Amino acid sequence: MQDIFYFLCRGICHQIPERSFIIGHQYLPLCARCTGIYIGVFISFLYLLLRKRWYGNRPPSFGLLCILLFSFFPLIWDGITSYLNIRQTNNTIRIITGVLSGSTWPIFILLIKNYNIYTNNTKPLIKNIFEYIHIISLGCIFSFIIINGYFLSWNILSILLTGSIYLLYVQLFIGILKQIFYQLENQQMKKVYVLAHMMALNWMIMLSFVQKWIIDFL
Amino acid sequence: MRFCRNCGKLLEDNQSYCSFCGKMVDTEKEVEIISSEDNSLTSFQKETSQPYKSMITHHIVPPLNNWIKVLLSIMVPVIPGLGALIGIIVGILFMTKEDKDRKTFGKALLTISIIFILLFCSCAFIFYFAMQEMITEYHFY
Repeated sequence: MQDIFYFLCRGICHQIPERSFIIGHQYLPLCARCTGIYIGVFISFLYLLLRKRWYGNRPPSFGLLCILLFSFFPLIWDGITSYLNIRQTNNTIRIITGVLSGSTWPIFILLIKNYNIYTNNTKPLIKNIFEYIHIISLGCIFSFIIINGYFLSWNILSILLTGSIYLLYVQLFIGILKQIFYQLENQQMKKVYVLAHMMALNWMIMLSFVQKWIIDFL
Repeated sequence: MRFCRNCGKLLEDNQSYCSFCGKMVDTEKEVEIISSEDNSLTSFQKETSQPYKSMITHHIVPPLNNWIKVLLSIMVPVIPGLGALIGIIVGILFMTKEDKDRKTFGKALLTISIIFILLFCSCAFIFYFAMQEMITEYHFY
């Protein structure tokens, strides 16, 4: 059972044990940075679902867009400087920069999925910066719980992380397939949803195999 | 005047199905296009009780230059990471425009830049492993 999570997450993350968190005497299937990213993704999807923004289709304003994209740069800066041995990082910095960049992904992916060219897109996805601050602070609280290992079991956390990776890919594939099959009726769109789920699962399994082949080849 | 909700083509008054795409048209909810000049109504037009909403003014916007499209869509795969971030910004800026050409191109640009940034993230650690292997094999440092 636990090998399945390690297998599915192997295609996305390097899983170096020094850089992962230990929960319940066992390493998580993702490294600290990827844990942060996918916790941000999960919190952001949950927030958008609970605030009834799941079908929102209005693009964010230019200032908010710049802020959303600027939150990528801490992760890139942290990754590059620690790779070039300019400075040292630890797991806390990795998880928090991961939350910062990961929480913006669902906004762009739901925008691809819901945006309609032929109508006026009026339902907002994210209204102002305060909602983004809410998402980030919820993510930081969650990552604080993970760092200290309070009341979390390994199984629940790894189901949550792999589930959020899967959800991200499913939403992306639904968005792409909707653009290709935009003429279909609602009845036939169900087949598209099934196809998107299969494509997402296939994609994760295929990435894992490709990663294993590359490592063996090297 | 009514327009099909699915394909956006002009319909006749008594049509219940769109003749272009075959979708059923809602007879109760009419799609009304409100032009942007509504706010600047003259006093004469305000006094007359004619419905001004159903009038359509066609704004003539020139379509996007093909070279810009080609350059932007080449930039996303060629510049790793940063090109995709610029693609997201430009794509969403085009999506806020009312021109249909810009809307479709913006959505396509946003989609490819998100796909490429996901690929970039998942390939970065494979590159990391490859570099580590090379360093230990050939003693570069």
